[in-house]
Amino acid sequence: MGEASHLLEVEDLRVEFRTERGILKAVDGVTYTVDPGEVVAILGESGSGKTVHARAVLGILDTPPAFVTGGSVLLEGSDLLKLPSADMNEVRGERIAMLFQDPHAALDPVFSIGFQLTELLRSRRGLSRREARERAVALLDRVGIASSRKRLDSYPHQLSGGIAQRVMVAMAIALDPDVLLADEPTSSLDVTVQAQVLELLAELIKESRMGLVLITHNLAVAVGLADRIAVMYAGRVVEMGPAREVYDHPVHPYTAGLLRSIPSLQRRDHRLRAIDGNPPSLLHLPRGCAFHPRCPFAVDACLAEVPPLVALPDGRLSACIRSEEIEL
Amino acid sequence: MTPGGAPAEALLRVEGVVKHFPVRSGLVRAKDAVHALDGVTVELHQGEALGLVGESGCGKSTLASLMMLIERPTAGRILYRGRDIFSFSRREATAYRREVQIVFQDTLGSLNPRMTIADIIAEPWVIHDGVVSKRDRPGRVRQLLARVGLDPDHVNRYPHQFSGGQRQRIGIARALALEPKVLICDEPVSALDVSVQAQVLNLLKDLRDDFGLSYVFIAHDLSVVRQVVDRVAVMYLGKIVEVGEEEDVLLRPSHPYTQALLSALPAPEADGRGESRRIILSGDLPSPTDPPSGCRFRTRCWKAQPKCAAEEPDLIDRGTGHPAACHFVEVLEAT
Repeated sequence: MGEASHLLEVEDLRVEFRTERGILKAVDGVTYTVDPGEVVAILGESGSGKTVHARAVLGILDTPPAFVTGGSVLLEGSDLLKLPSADMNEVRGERIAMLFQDPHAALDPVFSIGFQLTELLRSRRGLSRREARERAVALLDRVGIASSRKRLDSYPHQLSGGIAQRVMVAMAIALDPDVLLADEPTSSLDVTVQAQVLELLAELIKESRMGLVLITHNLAVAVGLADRIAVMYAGRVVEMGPAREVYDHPVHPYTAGLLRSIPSLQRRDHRLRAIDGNPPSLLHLPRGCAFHPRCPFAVDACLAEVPPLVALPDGRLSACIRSEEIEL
Repeated sequence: MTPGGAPAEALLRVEGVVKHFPVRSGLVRAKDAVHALDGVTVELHQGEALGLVGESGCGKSTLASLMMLIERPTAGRILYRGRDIFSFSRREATAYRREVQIVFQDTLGSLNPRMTIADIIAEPWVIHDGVVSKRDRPGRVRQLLARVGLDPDHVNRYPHQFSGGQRQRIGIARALALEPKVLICDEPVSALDVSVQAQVLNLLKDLRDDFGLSYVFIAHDLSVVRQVVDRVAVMYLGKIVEVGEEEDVLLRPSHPYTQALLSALPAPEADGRGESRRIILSGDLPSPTDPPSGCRFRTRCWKAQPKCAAEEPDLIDRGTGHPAACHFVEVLEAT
């Protein structure tokens, strides 16, 4: 451990759901670090555990049925998982903030956005009504909302998805957090608006030195914004590395398959190269490597044990026992 | 009528269709209306796949519900094999519905959770009597399942026992049960994981060839659209702003909105942190109850001139090879 310390260190995080039908390991040993000003993307499809992992980091899992069963989440050295819930409430928003996919679900429909913003600033920062209002205006300006003063009196339903998500960004950065966890922050937005919000996030990271954990299913979004990408499959990180390298030269067969299956605007394919089969049910995970039933490179040894995420000679991380011998 | 002297009669012709939804505010019935569609004309030819693209609120789904006879237009008509579908008798409407089927985005919401997939796929035959005899139904269900890539032995399972991609295959099998001529696919893969999306797109491509189907393919993902369609109509705020062969529109867009839409796609192909020459539109979609005068896109357009507010641009070919509704069209070659 004692090496250079990071802003956020997620170490061997494990979460399971205890259901009537059995125990389901939604997150099965996730490890990564985030430095100030760094963007780490957690890329995965539905059921990969990316969102559950984020909720565990934030301490907002629904327990039961979900339980953190192992690992640590170190924020500048102190383990968030060990904090009493009252202290964790302090940490959330203050030091580690979140941004969700659906801004309209995250905003309270019965209060104006000005009220929601100023309430946060008054309760957490002890600002007066007037100070809070001024600060709120500045925040809305910061996230690029036009006629910000007037906007404060708007109710969430009066806002478009893009504006509402900007308001959520304003709320997320209101307390100057060290880390922002954004779960599919642009997935519910139209592409032209998505581009605006991504640009805003990139700007904020650049100037604030905040660390960003970007949870997304969209590889293009991840490559566009992230420094590093961790690819998750069935609760585990199967590949991790610098964003561009992961995109240009994936080392895990799942990442390679995912990349090939993305339709390209530049190319009209006679047949798209899909990954065979379907993502596995977490209740009935395949033996050994969870990806082996869909993997064109699978051999008997892949069934023997769950492959750990190990460093390849060039420093890239892969959880495939054949990464060094196969041509992807 | 089509450029290049293609066959004259379209399979499905949308002609000057307007659809306004009245809005009430307060107690008084207001005169406001959401202009969901404002004069849309587009054709689907036999065996063709036509893409309708655009962002939320552009009217693409309203157009689909008109084609499905779920809504009636405020003005204009839709001709199927030359006859207005809104003047159909009940009997004719039933026959039309048999020939024009839909595949939905939401695979869980569109399949009855209490029915086995055998019953789901056979249900259209109960409504459209005489397509497949009762005796032949079980066998036909199995055939359809096999055709869409599902295990015929799973006929007695329920929708929740399948993954999203498999459920979409069930939805497609149900749509095929009536041997339709046209399939309206409303965002058929946008709820699916990327790795599965490609499988369903491949299936749709195969089925089109095998059954000689024509598609109206509605989607917001332009890369997906490119894989399936022959022609594309780009919609903005209730109007078609550009239409043409998929290659022309998607690789050499001439309307500023199409250019912005394409440029907004997160493109890892571009170098580094997406710092290519992106066009990032400012502002939001204007309110559809009060669309801007003249060109509807002008409030967000970097090319807008006084003329754009004064005069609505027609959807015509201004020398770019295909129609676009902009006074200042200019082809932008995609990289």
